[in-house]
Amino acid sequence: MKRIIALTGLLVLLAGLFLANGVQAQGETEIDVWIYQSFYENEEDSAIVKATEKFMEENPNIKVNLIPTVYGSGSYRDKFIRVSRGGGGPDVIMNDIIWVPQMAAMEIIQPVGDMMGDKKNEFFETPLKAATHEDKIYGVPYHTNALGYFYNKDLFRKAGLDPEDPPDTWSEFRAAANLITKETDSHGFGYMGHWGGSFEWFSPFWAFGANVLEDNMKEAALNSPQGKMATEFWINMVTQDGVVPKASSTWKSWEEIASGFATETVGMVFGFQNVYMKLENKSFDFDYGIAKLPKGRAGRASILGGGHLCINANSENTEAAYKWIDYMTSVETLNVFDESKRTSARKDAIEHQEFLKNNKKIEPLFESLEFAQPRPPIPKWTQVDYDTIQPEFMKILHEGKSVNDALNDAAKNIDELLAE
Amino acid sequence: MNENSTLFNILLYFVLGIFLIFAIFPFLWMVTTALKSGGEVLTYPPKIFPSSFHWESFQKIWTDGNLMIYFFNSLKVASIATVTTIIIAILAAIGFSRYDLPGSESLKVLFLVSQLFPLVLLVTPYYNIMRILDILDTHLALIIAYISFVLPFSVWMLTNYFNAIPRDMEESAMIDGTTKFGAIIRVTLPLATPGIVATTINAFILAWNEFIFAQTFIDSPSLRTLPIGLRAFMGQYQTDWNLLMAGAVISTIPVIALFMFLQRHVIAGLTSGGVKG
Amino acid sequence: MAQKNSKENALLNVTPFMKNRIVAVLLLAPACIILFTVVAYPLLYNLIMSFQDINLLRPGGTPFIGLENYKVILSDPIFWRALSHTAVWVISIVGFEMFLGVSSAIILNQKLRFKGAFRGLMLIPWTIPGVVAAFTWRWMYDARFGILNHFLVETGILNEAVAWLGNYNTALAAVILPQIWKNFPFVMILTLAALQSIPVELYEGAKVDGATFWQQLRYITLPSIKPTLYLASLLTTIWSFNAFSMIWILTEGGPAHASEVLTTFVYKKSFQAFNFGQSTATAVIMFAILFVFVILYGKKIFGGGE
Repeated sequence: MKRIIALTGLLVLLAGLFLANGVQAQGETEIDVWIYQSFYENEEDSAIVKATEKFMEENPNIKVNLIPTVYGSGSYRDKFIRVSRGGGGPDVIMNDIIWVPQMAAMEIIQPVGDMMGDKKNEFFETPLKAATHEDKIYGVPYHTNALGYFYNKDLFRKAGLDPEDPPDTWSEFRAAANLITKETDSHGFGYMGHWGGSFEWFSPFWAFGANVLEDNMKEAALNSPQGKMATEFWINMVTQDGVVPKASSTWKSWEEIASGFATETVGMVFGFQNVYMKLENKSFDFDYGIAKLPKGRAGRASILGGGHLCINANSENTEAAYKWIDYMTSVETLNVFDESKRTSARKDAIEHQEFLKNNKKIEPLFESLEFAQPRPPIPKWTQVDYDTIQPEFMKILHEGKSVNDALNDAAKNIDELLAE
Repeated sequence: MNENSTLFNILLYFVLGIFLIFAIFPFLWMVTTALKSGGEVLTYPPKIFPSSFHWESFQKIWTDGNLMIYFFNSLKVASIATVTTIIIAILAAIGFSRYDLPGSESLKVLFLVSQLFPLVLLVTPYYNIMRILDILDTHLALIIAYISFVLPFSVWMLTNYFNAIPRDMEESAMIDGTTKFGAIIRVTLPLATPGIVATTINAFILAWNEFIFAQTFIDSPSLRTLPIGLRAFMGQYQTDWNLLMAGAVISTIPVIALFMFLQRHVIAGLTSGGVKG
Repeated sequence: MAQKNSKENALLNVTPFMKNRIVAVLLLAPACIILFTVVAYPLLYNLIMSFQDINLLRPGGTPFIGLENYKVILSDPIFWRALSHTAVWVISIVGFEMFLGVSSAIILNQKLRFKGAFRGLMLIPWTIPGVVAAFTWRWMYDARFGILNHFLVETGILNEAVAWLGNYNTALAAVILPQIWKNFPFVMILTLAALQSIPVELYEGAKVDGATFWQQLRYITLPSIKPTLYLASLLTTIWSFNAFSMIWILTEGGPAHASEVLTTFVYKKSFQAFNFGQSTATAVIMFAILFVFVILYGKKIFGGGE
């Protein structure tokens, strides 16, 4: 009998604990925020934690829980899709530029444009455009960056190239890649071969004046004459010239790109500021430079990367969530970007961010923001990319399909996909 | 060929040697990599042995990595899930193996049903259950998920082992006046020890290595289990192979130690008095 | 105990036969309760979705569309490719795991020095967390710094390094090998436990009769562990059929579907196309394949065991 009483007591106690867990202090709003693990490298000493603590001091009725989560489509985006579909998830997520339109279409994040009001003018135009879905803005631009290229100055010297005057046109780039491959033990250029190099292909493609989609974003345009010419140029460099090493065919992450560059497997790679971040943490004994992506017939082009802060559609604390976002995208918290060697999407970042002010090396990346553009911000982008473009690139590389046929087939498949 | 002949023994060790190389080469590669300096890892051509031993990676993980926390989280979750599973599974296996219940074979097949579905699609509904129970971001959620996920295999494995044990001994115990269930517990269970140990290790390793549930249910860094911690660690140091491998080695050794302990003490101790006698 | 028993019998007024049934029900109840409460809902949840038009990018209505998802999947050439890769994947993995696992268990059950240490060492691949194992293999396969290419080129087996995971012809084999490596110790453990339960008297009798090792193996060992072998092959079939993380980390099913299996196909349908109607339909088809297999093969196990 005693046992039964003890057991009942224990159960009541447990139930009490569960209930107590759910009850919050009077008038206090609690918000959960997912941040990339890379903003949390110094753990509780990280700038984002310090800034959030200051925010909570100023707003004693809001409690913010920062939840560092490993970045990656499987570990971050897909986890958010799973939990938000399950009716849960954090109030705020730090979100990749390419995922925002998808999540907006899924209605798992809320529009924030109205709340932003005039604050919109404080950010660069293109990140805002990238977060727009059906005329509504779904994310407050957070960090931003543009693709440039990294080159190994020592290998440049060995190949007889001028390390202080890196290639500025695509034909110069191709010539340099060939020289490095021929004159040194390294290959000229490395890319993410796992995706058929289709990511790196965008920049020359755009620079030749081609586009993947028509302006209405509903029809394919990649098999235009410019598109075919640009792709032909690109594929010839990769296949006929043989400037890309075999090892590069399995690379699928920025880490592998940075590692391939640091080990002098290749003399040139494309990269965002993240590659710079990674290289800063590696040991190697050569000097390197960063340059703007080369010019094509239609000028320069670069891919816009970065991230936004978005609010979960399930969140019941929209106001508090936005308040925190507002604070984290203000001038006061720009040191958060300095710590993680990123660039804020604020137009005035260059005036305030210590990291940008006197950093000659990454200046070309910052300047590339002027002409960088997002990949088409349509919800079906992942599918267009994975199911139509990449497979055709694979067929060109592995099965010897002609560029002409591949682009025509890709265009046909894109049209079908977008018409659905 | 006689099993005492030298030739036979040479053959035995030879085949064992080949299997052993296959099994542990990647692990040896992990260990030697962990002992290399950061610069030496990425040199061409690759070296098998480090030119000098570097213990810094292990030190670094031990001191500033959170892997120790993750390690103990995993230990806790996997142990509780394993013990609970094994107790429930032993009961069920006795039921399947020693009692005639109409329809029990179909029931046994039904047990496996949950394992026939790809895990990625089971995660969202599991998440819904945990949310309704209000136990997301707790180890309890993982423990429940792991029990439900390891139980079917454990029941099947144990039933198989119980079936292999002759019934005469428990029947003679029953003549002494013990109930059937009592006789099974006292006589059959000890004889099944090797099987129970194997099942326990299997259950433990499945729970110890599970990734996708842990990744979906757990948000707080302090509650992460080892696979999630290692994954985060990999995101941070993805090509710092020496650090990564040190983490992997540290996470592997305790399981091996546990296994060797079980082998030596539990199996040797119990079986000597049983079947062999 | 005996006294308590008769008291219970008197109270319940049941025959020993009935009582045994009650005991059996009580024994099975905890397992049933856990499995059917936790598992039934997720399965039904997915089954229902497979008949609906669910594309996350088109939120709003999710009308029932009958077998439409199944029709789409069954007419998708990539599904058939993934299915045939899955067959190759499962058959080779189960075959090699059984061979390696059973033979190493038999060897490790002989009189050997340092037997315990050997058993522990052979277990290592199984204890390494899957994520780490996959990354390690990815690195061993590396076309520049990978140790495998280095060995093969040094020994003259290959003229030049191969990008094992990036090559059409080698990708599938290159993901199968690590999976075998990772899981064969499971078969070993399972078999070893069965071997340890074979009464020593059987062997002693055989030795008196002058039976060789191979005869003992053929007439005593293998027949005694037959049910375990069936069980091991059943479980490894289920696991390899549904294995995901090794392939995903190594190749994501690529290059260009060269190592696509059904699990990676399902993942892509879910999280690249966001079409959960089609992904759950694929999963139900996979379920059906395995279910038929378990029913047919399970019969053998019951036959062997009872």
